[in-house]
Amino acid sequence: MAQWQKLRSHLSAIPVLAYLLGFGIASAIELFIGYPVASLLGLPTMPTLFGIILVQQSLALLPSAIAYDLLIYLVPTYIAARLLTPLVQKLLQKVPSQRLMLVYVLALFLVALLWGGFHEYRTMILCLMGINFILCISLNLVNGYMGEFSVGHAGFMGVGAYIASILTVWVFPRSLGHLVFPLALLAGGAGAAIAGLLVAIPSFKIRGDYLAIITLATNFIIKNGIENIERIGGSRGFMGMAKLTNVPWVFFWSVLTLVLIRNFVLSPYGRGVIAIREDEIAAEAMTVNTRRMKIIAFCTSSFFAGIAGGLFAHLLLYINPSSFTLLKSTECLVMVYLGGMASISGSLVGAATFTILLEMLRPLEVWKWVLIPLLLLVMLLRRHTGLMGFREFQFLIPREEAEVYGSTSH
Amino acid sequence: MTYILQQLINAVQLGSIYALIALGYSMVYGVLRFINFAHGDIFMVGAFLSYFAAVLIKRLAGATAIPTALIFVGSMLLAMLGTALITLSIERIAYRPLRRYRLSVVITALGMGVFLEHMTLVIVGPWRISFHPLITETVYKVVGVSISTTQLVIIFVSILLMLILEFIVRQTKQGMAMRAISYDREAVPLMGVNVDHIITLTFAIASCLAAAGGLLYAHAYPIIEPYMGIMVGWKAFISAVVGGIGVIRGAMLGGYILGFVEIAAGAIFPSRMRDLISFVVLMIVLLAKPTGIFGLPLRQKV
Repeated sequence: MAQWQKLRSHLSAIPVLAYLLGFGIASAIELFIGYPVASLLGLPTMPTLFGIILVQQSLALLPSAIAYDLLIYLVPTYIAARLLTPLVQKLLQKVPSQRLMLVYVLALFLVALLWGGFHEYRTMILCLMGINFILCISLNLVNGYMGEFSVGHAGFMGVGAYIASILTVWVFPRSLGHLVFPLALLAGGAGAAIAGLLVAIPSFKIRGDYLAIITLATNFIIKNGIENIERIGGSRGFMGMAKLTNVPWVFFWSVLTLVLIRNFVLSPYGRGVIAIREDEIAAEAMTVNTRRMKIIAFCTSSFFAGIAGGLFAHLLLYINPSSFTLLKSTECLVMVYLGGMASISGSLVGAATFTILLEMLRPLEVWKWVLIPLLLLVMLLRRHTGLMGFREFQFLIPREEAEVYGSTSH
Repeated sequence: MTYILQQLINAVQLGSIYALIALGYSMVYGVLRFINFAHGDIFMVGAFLSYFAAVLIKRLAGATAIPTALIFVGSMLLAMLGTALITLSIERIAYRPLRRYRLSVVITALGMGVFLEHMTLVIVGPWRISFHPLITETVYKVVGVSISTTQLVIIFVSILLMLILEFIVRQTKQGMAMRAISYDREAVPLMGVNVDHIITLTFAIASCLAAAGGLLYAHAYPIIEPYMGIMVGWKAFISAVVGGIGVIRGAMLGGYILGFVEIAAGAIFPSRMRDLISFVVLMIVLLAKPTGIFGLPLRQKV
């Protein structure tokens, strides 16, 4: 027990950034020696997701997969992190706290690119993770920060996906590709924000469970509306998009969303939104313009859902109305509550955990959806506000706010 | 005229089923202020259980011919029992420990819905099962309008169940406790009422109604599959809200209103617009009356 304690304190002495960089180095090493090591250990292919999928195919591969993870990831990450620790500590002291987030973001991008940028399947997972993160954090704005219960997030995502796809396929010349992609996404987001008014305006009068039903109805209306427009394929769906979504784009939009929503939440507007959650009448009495706040919050939330939809459409290259049903909305909700309400870190954790969990359990097919609700239940029974509910990673909190939040040690 | 009458009967048939399921949402909401999103899937489980119960009863009877009415009632009771057991275990495991955290429990409810769907999928496989009607079908012609036995049974059974429910809620001590809890939740435990028992009873009754709804729905639309509960569940939920969630008579009325709206929308507009219209109606009703038809206005304490 004492040794376990010692190990823990030893490991937690190394800063998170060093681990991150260490993992990047490990991924870089894997790029060169991944295949030889895998074949040496008797694995049929290079493990794409730490060997978890391979193990599900045949349990006999378990020792080799563990050995691979140890050799390629754990040991090099540890060694590199250990060696980098003095360097990182110096860096952390030099960088002013306002710029700290930038450092983390850069490190994260490097790691993402090294781990997944050269591998099609991993690229897919990373892109989905980013998209899920955007969805999750934008839904968290309404469900976590404003305290309303929106169950129709996928509808807004669908609006964004359709508008962006129509623009890139029919309106913009195909040769411009990546140059006009942000424009298409922004247009999709704007369209989704307008659709968000469908929820925002009723929310003046209607609250709580009844508003949840409005969001639900909005989701259905959007889905059925798209189904009934024959021009854009109706229920057959829409295709013909070029594959424009890649890791850098997803990363760019995720970071943009993260920064904007973080700053929004910390701004007077964000305070107003939180005040609405705590007590709407009191907020109104304290001169918070609740109507304006609600419009801003709902539209911002659906704007980013629209962006995520555009990215989603240009990743899968095929969308149809049934991609944007309540099932998708429920996935968003699960991510929010798994990660934690009213927490940006929670959205990060929730989206990453959920995406990886879905991929890891994919070989289980139907059983996957039996298992996931049970996992969620166990998690909620243990921590009812989610993994990171109402808490933030330190690098997301401005220094002067640090004592307000119950900050966690990373 | 006969066309309209014919559609009216269809609407009453559909509305009865919606009303039965909507009652489950409304009753649970009344005592717990919690939307049981798994209720639609409870309804699906009810349909499957009644299918298996009917098969079981037929197998047990073997060569001896038993009247179809007996099989009908028997499988309905068995399905009610099974569904109630499943619902109560869900309530015990997933809802009760989280009852104080309103939003977490909504998420577990959504999760339990997904769980039920896929557990059914695992058990019965991805096939659609055609439900053999337990009623011998005869079509009666009344002034040009045709009514089948199935329709009569559906309407009659659901109205009977609703009357029984009215009796329980209005005339029994437990029903009184239910109404009291939805009126003032803080005071009721002080009066010596065991709230947990009442909540258990409410869930049991709600799931029995859903099971009956499942059996009746399977007679009207005789294909059952694990995802059938999603859409019907949401529709029933809408009915409950339109009537004013938490109000039992509201749920009944809401069910019939939604039935009429859907059938009317299907008759006037192309049928693929049906869902769209019913959701638009829902939004209009809520905009005009934010807490449903019978719902009391939200009390705001300052």
